[in-house]
Amino acid sequence: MRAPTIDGGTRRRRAGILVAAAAAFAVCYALGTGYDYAPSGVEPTLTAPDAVDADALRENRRLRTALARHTPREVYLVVDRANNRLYLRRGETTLLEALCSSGSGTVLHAPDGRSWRFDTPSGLFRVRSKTANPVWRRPDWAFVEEGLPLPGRPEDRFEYGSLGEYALHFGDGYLIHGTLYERLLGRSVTHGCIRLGRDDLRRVYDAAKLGTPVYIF
Amino acid sequence: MSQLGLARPIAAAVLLLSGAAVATAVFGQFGPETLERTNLRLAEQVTLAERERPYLMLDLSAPRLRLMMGGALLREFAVSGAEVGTPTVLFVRRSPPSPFAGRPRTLAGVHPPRRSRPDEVVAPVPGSVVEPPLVPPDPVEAEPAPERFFLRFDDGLSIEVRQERAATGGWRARYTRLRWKLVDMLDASRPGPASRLRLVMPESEAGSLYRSIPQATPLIVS
Repeated sequence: MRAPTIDGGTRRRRAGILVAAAAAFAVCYALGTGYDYAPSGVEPTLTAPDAVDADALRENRRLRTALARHTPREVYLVVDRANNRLYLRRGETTLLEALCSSGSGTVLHAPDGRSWRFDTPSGLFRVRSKTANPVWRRPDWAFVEEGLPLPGRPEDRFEYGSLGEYALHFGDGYLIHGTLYERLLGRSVTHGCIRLGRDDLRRVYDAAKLGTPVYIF
Repeated sequence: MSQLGLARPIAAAVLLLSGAAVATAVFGQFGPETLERTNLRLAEQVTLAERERPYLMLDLSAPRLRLMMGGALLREFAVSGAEVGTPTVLFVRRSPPSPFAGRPRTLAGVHPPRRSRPDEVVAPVPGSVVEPPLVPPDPVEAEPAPERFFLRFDDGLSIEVRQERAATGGWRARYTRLRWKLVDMLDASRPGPASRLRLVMPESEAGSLYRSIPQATPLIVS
């Protein structure tokens, strides 16, 4: 006796049912899968005073004292490289928000195989020196990037006026200084130093002292 | 009872009530549970402050998001809203939100990823004609922030940062919301921890955060 066969119509019906079921499941999955959001407020709990642990309060004071040791007591500078902003702060008060320019991040390759990366470093630094009317002693890369030969005499490296009226040195040859190109402030165009506009530079120079922290991120 | 006899119990009652009032003022905002939580947060913060590297502090009750280094404020990002997201699969909640406070976590990545640098430049041959350098775009043009992006942390926590007026109006917005829905489905279905916080921020603040948050930044949530 021959086994019963499934005709094409039945196959198509079954396939249709499967597809419909899969589609229904997919729709349910899509509608019911994701995230439920609720407001995030955290309410502090109030209890009777006699339930407070004196040890916990002592620990609280100890931790606050420890944190205060890392908090600058005087003004400090903050440089946001990605957004090209410089902040002069005291505590949590912003005394000045200035447009600045930071390192371009470009890598320059010289014909002799040397290369330089023009990044502003990140971390905690301190103002090491302050100079009025700074003179720029041009390093090798300043000649290489313009296709110029390196000067034979040391005095041929000095350039006057291009760093603006003031400069604050914060280590490893990096400066906060002025610029002849104020239209480029806000863009990452420097070779690693921080450039400020004339008025902002004067305010920063007047406010910062030797040892003033400079936070760069 | 004489007046002198009444004075002592009245004085004692006044002293007791004053002591209770002072204790309530000092301790009242710090019930033991809150004080313990505060101490946990401070302990984390002291540990991170000693490293002299940036760290994030997210206060969900305010809400407030700050980038710190040591005890110094680097940047405070304005946050207009914060929500806690619980993953659900087929209408069933996977798990209650994990406690966010008291658990150290580090930024594992920003999604979508930021543009990587640097540009490489070959010095011109001495004596050749040197073209003036191209003026780079400003940060907003160079690295525009998506309307929605994620800060993903190494313990499975994600912070969704959404701009205030993201995906509003028109067919393009509908398409954007559909793409977001697909990402949400994948995240919620993924095995392992899938907790999420959502922060809503003004466009400029979200963009600043996207561009500037350093790699491997630790996060404290309180």
